[in-house]
Amino acid sequence: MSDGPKSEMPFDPKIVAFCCRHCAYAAADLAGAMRLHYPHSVRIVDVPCSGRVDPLEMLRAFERGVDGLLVAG
Amino acid sequence: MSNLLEEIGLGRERIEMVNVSSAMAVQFAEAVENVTQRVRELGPNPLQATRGSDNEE
Amino acid sequence: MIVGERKPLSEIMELLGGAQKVLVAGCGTCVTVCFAGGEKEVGILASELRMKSKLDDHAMDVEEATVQRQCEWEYIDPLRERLDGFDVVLSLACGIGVQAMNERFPGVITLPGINTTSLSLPVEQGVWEERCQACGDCLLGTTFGICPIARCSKQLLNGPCGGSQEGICEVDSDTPCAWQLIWDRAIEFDQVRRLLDIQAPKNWSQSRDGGLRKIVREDLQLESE
Repeated sequence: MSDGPKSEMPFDPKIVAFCCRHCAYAAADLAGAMRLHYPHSVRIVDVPCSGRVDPLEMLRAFERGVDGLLVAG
Repeated sequence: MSNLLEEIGLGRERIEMVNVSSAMAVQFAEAVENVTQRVRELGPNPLQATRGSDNEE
Repeated sequence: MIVGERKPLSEIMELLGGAQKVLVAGCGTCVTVCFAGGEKEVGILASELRMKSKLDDHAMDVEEATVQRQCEWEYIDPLRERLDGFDVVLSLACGIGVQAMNERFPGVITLPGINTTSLSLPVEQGVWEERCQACGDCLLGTTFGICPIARCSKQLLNGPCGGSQEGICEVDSDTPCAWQLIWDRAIEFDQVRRLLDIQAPKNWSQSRDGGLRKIVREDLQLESE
């Protein structure tokens, strides 16, 4: 990090969250309704079931530069 | 999956799986906070770094 | 089915050496069913290779191709036009597929990405157990459908041996004694008499030790002009 040109800037990790439509996605929705604070750099991907997410999709996300993954269901 | 990440050299800590029900908004927010915090300590995805330096050249 | 297991990424990277352009070739038959080398595993490995090589500072160009069956000319011939410009093919098929690729496309080296391990039965989800060693002289008709060649650690033709303890093989406490299973079946079918004759040595000339095995079926061959 220190050799990056913007090393003084705080690093905002780009996180992709694969969320089950019926559980975690609804929870995320509720979190919004409750005005809960959580990092804005998370990108939520709605999936029919978190069991639907397979290693290939997760690898693709990393290949495209995502910093971290959350699978929630 | 975490073994795959370790094998590639990205680190198994970059992925987290949690169980949250639709009523667990607080836990969801916590999970996002935790992952973000952990990944922040790990630093950016090194693949992105190489891509970035390619762009600069 | 033919069962295989993916080689570790480090071994694959070493095999590939300094290759710049790699085609990962999967097979849609046995290795797809045992989750070792089908389209999905090809995608995963290709993605791993792209990332790993980039992190190692020699980014490889990795493409993917899966054919229905890598062990038949008809199915691999369409790959010919895709091979242009590739340094190497990494096959996730069994050993037959890897060799078929090398024979059909001698201009490019095809390397193995999996270890072909056995002819196995998926006994439960995620577990494959060997059932056949392709010995070339099938005994199942006299052993009540249980193969002592594949399943007895000593490949005994007359058993069990003294190492059979309460139905378990002495070699491995997780392995049932094949001969115990055979005797149990004989008792169940009231045909114990059939096991009392001593079996003469088996004809091993048709097994693996006598050099290349080959079947020629003249009735199926196309007439040469």
